[in-house]
Amino acid sequence: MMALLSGLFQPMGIFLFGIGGGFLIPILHRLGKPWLHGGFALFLLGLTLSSLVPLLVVLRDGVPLEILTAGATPPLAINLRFGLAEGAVAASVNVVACLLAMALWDRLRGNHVALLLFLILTMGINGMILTRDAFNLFVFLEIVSIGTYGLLGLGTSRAAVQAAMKYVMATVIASMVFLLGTGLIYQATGHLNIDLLLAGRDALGAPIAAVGVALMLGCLLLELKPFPANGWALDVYETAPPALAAFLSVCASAGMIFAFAKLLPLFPDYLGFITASAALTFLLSNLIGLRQDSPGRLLGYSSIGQMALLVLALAVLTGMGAEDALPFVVFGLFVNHLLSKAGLFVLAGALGPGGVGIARGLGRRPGLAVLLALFVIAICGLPPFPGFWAKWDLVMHLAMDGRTGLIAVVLAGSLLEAAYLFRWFLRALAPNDDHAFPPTPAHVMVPLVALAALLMISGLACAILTGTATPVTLAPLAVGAALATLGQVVRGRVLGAVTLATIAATGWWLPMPDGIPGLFAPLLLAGGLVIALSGLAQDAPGRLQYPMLAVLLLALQAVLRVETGLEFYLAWEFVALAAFFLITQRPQALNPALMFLMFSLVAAFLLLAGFAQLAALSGTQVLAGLDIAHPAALPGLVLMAAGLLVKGAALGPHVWLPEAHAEAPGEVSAQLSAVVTKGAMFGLLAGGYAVIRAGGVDVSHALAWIGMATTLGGALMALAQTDAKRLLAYSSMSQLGYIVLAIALMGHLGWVTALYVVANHMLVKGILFLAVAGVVLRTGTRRLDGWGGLAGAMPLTCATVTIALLAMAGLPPLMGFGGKWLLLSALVDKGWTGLAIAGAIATFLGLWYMLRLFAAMVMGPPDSSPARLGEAPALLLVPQLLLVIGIGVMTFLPKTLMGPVSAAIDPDFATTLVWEGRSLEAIYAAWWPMPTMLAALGASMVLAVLWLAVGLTGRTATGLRAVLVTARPLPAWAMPPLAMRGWAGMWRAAHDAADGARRVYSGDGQVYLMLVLGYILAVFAAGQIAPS
Amino acid sequence: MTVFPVSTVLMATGFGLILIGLAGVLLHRNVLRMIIGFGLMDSGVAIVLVATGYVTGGTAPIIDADLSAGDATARVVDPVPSALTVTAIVIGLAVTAVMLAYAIRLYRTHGTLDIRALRDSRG
Amino acid sequence: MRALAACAILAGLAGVFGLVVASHAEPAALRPLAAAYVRASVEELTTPNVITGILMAYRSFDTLGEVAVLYMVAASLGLLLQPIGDHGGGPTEPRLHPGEIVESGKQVLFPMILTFGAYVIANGHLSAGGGFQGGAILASGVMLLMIANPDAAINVAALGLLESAVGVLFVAIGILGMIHAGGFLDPRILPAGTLGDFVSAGAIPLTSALLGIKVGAELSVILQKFRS
Repeated sequence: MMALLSGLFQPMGIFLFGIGGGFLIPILHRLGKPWLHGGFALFLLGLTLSSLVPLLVVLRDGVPLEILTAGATPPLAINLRFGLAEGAVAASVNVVACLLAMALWDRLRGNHVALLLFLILTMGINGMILTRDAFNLFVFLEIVSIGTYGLLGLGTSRAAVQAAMKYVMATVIASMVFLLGTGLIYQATGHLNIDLLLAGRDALGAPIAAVGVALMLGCLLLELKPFPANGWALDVYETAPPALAAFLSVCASAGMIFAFAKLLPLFPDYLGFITASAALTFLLSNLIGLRQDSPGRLLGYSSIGQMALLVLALAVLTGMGAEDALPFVVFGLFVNHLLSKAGLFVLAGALGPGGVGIARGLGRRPGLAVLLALFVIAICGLPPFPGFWAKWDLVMHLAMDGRTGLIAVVLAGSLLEAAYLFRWFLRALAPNDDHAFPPTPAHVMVPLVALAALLMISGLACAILTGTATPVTLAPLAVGAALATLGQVVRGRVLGAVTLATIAATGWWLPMPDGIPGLFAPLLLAGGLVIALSGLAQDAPGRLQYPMLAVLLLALQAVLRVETGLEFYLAWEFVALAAFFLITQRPQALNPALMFLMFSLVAAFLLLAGFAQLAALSGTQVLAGLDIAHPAALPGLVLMAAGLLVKGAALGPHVWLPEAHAEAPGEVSAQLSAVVTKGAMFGLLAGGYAVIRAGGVDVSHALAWIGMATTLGGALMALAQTDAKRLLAYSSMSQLGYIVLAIALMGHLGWVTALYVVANHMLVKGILFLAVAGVVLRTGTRRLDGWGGLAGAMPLTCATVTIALLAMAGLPPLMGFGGKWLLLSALVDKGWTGLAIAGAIATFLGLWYMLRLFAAMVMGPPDSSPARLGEAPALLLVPQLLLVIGIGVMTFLPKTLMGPVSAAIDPDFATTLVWEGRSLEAIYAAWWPMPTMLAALGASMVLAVLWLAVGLTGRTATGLRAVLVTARPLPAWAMPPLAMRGWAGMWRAAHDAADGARRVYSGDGQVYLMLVLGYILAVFAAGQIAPS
Repeated sequence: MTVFPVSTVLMATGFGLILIGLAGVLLHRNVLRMIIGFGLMDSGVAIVLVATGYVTGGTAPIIDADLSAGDATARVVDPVPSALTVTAIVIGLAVTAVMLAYAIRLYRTHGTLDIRALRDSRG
Repeated sequence: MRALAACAILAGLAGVFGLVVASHAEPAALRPLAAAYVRASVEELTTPNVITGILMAYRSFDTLGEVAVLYMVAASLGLLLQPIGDHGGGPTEPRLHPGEIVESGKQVLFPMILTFGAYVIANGHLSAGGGFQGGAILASGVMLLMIANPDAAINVAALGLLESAVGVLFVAIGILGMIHAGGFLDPRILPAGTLGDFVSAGAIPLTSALLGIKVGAELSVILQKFRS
């Protein structure tokens, strides 16, 4: 079979089918449409098979196929090479070309000119990839160009004609430059064969050859659209029919990028310039993307950025001699862009006219919504798609080469790209029943689904290649996908029950880790499941709810179990994405969801950058290798800590948390706040663990103050809220600050405390968010002053809330008390008195805002109609009761937690086992530090009473409730939204910078031509300056 | 007075033509004039290519009564640039035809041939 | 401002070009590859015109690409010149009558031009000439016809079919080269003959003829499309 196929489909078939088929098409056109269409399909498929089958042969034999023409050997005759790289790129281009031909079918059908142009153009791209002759490369470049010019004739709008004219002029100059360069190189060397040119590249320094090389490079770079000489391409992306723009942006560019890669060894002196130009292009095109409204132009900027990223990767990896990393990084990025950008362009067409800013109610077309999400995730380099793995590898290599600036550029550009693409997705998702979708015909849907499937397959292939396809990392996606499939048949509570059972079973089945992760894993799994139970209260949960919940909880389990940095990062991104999609379920939560995702990505990129530094330093990507005892590790550690703090909502970057946690659906808020935030805390703890063991740099004091500032800031802001969920969200922030503070103590006592607060906060915040969800359900408002007198109507809810508040407030004998006591003791012990005092103040503030919540629920007459009031649904109450039981266990049997905690930490901290002359066992046994704690509490009470008294006397006795609930405890001016203003200012600054940069795209064709020529001069100058 | 070799003169002429063509492209706002500029550039490139193939005292690489196969290698100019030039001329023609077609298209949609008026897409 | 920028760019390019001209040293002898072409064209292809040998054999892959380029242009003009927009669509001015000289000249010259074109095509392997050049001459004849006889209808459909068929034949000969000789477009599928004979050089005269017809037809189609 294989022998027959490989006999039938040889690489030369690409050209025979392409050009021979192209010649036959007018004849078939005469015979009638069935002949024309059948013939075209046959030729395109034949062309594709002529690349796929030889690729299999090359894969099997491991030897490139050498193709001679004219029966003579090179350099006399033109030869072609079909190696692994050529074959892989050509085959993927051809497959995508087939899919895009299908998507473009409404324009191609019956149009024999367009059909033959498409066919020969595809062949030309293959020719650029395969040829080993410089002039032949020029010929194929021209075939691609002329084919493009012809196909651009499919756009008939005014703007399309203008764009085509500018495109033609600019690319004609570029190819003329290439021709001139080729001629000069021939003049200097006496041959045109690329292999001979590469072999004799040392002789290319002479002036004429140098000019030739510069001209050739100039053309290749121009065809890849560098900033600022790329205005001509953007206009075409904006105005061409979307599937055609896709074809140009991914397939035609593939030929260019391969030609560039092929000739790159000729340009050793230019690597610096190429890298700088690509970095600038990547950054600026993604920056300008922020200001785009037309989907085509937006995707155009994204394409240009992605091409620049490819060029950057090629130049840097070649420059550092890491050629063996090229296939994975460059091909990974290439395939990722090829498939996802093709999908995005086609989808942009399927969504119908209108800018990226308009609300489309995409939720009504779940198929398109899923596809759009998938392609956007892929193009942003997020898992599980190939770009994720490629970008990881690229960053690791950049770090090895010490290119910190480039890492910053790559990550900043990626962040901007994610910002505008996800914004597009979320805007499209916004409800709008008036928006009419054009029907999505099968010839558009099939390619979209095929592209998505290919993306997933190639993502899986990357996972296998990198060894990250372990049960732990695959489980979240596998379970999520299975549940999504099941969700097509089963809905509602049945699916919910299956989901919970599957999560529990999978969590049980996965190997249980040792040490600190071993504490977090069962805690978060159990907590997550109990809270997820409340989801069953919903009658009609969203389609995403259960699959994403499974991904979220299992990915969180994966975070705790992985061994390498890559796996950690993978699982981490899964958590962020799953949480993002869960938040987007509420239409009101779309903007907060974007903010959540942006800060999650910032955190992830900081982690990535930091880890890359450390991995470069230690030479290993295993997480256990993080403990580097060297001052050089400081930047990496600080970056990682910063990432975790962003995700942990430290004061400053905390702004995402209240928005996301307040606007997300009720049980999602509970899940995020109680369970998911603990992922970052685990990271800090585990990272700090490694640092301490390595005896490295001490940043603990700074970290402690960050934690304390977060605690105080969170408490103050919680105090200022009138919205119950926002109050709880800020309270979460405040509690996370406590945990950070405890971790910063970097000692046994601190960490016992940290784990203690983790457990405490999980239980308490789970109860509170679920209870508030119940109250909101019954009263219909989240405003505290809209509640009141609920003790009668919702006795159970009020009871659980009371217990939770007491537990959190640190009142004896509930478990929060233990946490506070341990923390204050540890602070005093360490000599951080300032922090201890601040901690006491924070305790007071915490007491105050929780009193407000309590008062809002219990005190005063019910404001809402009693008819609507009743106890919360049983399925909301059951999880609360389970969590209350958890609090009880922790309170009355503290050793159930303390025992394992001690066991987990002790082996590594044998020296700190003894504290104040007593063993820890003794400390836990003597669990009665009443005097200290009572004093602190007493002080808090006095302060509270004072404050109340001031409030009461200030008003004419409108009642205690009015003071507690209705009045703002703090005047508005005392709480300026500094952080929010700061971030909004940065966001605006980015937009202003984008507006500045895009002024170069004035639309003036002649200016574009001048920029093209100026760019070539710049290339030449760079070659003159560079040291030979 | 220095006597420049003929190929140098030819090459300078070719480059000069390219520059004149480019000047036309960059300075004239009428698309038709710009296309003429492109045509000049084409010719210039062809001349430069031919000039690079010249060998001092060489003749056309065609074996006939005046040029025996035996001493051909010593007496002919480099045939490769000539062959490339044929190809380049054809491409120049093709590109000119396409540009003219677009000029017609432009006039039909806009009623103008002013390149600077074509600014619907920007930023 | 714009003119200034343009001048600066031109000056920069002039500098680059000047560097090339200044460093150009006219070679006194052929480089090895060029010499190899001269020898191989005679010895392997029995083609006295080395340039034709290169174009039609060693670099015939390029030539095929060129044919494709011309073909694409001829075809895409059909797409590009479709009526769009609302300008310039009014009644066209009546074509000027070309006058008696052109009319009579056409009658004398048209057959001669076609014959000359055919000669240039057919002798491409022996003397200066070849498919591209001869095809262009053929098309110039057609152009004269168009000028002399403005209402003359050129059968674009027939010419289109002709160029398609000729193109397919060209590729077919290329495939024969893969089967019966050393590779795609290897001309040695026919006997080499004697150097300098009209029937010699393998399939080169045949491919040249096809190329000439194709180029002639394509250029005529292009001219006709612009005319209408």
